Amino acid sequence: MPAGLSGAGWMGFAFETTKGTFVDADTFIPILSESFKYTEDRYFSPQIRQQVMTSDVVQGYYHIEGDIEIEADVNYLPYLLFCSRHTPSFSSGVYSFVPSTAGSTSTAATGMVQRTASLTIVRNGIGFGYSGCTLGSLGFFVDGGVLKFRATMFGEKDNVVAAPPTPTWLDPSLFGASGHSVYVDASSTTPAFAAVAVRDFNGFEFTANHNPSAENRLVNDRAATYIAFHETEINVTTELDFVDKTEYDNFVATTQKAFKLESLKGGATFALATEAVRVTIYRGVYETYDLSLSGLADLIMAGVTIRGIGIAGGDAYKIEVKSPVTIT
Amino acid sequence: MKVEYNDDSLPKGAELHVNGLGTLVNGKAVEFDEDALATFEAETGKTIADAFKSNAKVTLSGPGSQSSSKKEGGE
Repeated sequence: MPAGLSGAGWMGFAFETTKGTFVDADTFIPILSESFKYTEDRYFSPQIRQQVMTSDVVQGYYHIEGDIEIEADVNYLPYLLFCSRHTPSFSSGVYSFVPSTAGSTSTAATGMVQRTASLTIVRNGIGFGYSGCTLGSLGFFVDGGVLKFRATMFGEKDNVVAAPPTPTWLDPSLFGASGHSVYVDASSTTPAFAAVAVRDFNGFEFTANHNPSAENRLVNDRAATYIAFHETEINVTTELDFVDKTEYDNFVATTQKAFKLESLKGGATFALATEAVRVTIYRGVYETYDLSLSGLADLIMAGVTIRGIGIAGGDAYKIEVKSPVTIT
Repeated sequence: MKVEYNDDSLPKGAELHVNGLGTLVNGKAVEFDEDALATFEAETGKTIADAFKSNAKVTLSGPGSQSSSKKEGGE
């Protein structure tokens, strides 16, 4: 087979009925890039036998690990978010995902619960199958005016895909530059958020990192037994125009605020929009607020990291997706 | 051949594009003529029947709707 281009490849997704058991793809997600790889702790024998190099090798434990990046599209986001460490719910066309304390990937197959996925990736016509996949960390960010989504995924097993299915593709549905707004309010489980968006955020990158690890047990199998989750770390990074000392003082004082990113299509508000993504951090605090005179012609901006922390009586953050797809 | 696509997770009428074939419509059967089927096979190296044999959302009817693996099985 001659060399191939990435553009001819594709990625397919399927929910699993049994965690870790591969399912042929039935939903085809347009990606910008992927980097899935078989990740093994291969054993090289360090026997001392009159040589100064390892003298044997055997296969070790392995798991699957890699990033995917997509343009945020509500036709696909719910599928991926169902496979993350969140508690999902659905009401009036909106999927909501709030943080969960699950210690590992779910074994559930249906319902409003965390699930696992099988991913099929075809590279140069060759199929690769990864099962037991979950999102270890995820993020939304605005790049070139377009909302994008990035996930670091962990999977349990590498599978043979002898005959990859034929993809079926929906039309793209992207959130462009006119769709994004950021709102800030005092920290609360029910922040009011003013109707008018703030105007000083130069970018918005939200990350929820659940610090996953592949866990291998003595079960007569080299593949990961399950994927564990550890501390959930929430961050927003951005730049803020520096026009007065208010936010610097808030940084020093560890003042807590609520932050919201909305990306909308088909309507001016989340309620009116036909498609929407909303990320709300209910209790965030500046972790860094870096100011400098960086160069003769540079705007003075603060490099900011906002850390989300737990809030009593509520969820630390929520991801909402208004989507036409139905997941049961 | 008619190709019917049924996916409960998508709205009825949603259009799905298949490279080398054309557009399927969720909840409907779309008919493709012999030229379209031949073009698909030339571009992909698969018949429609083989291309969709593992996709439970796709139902084929009419001439050529049986996959080659099933034919080889002596059905």
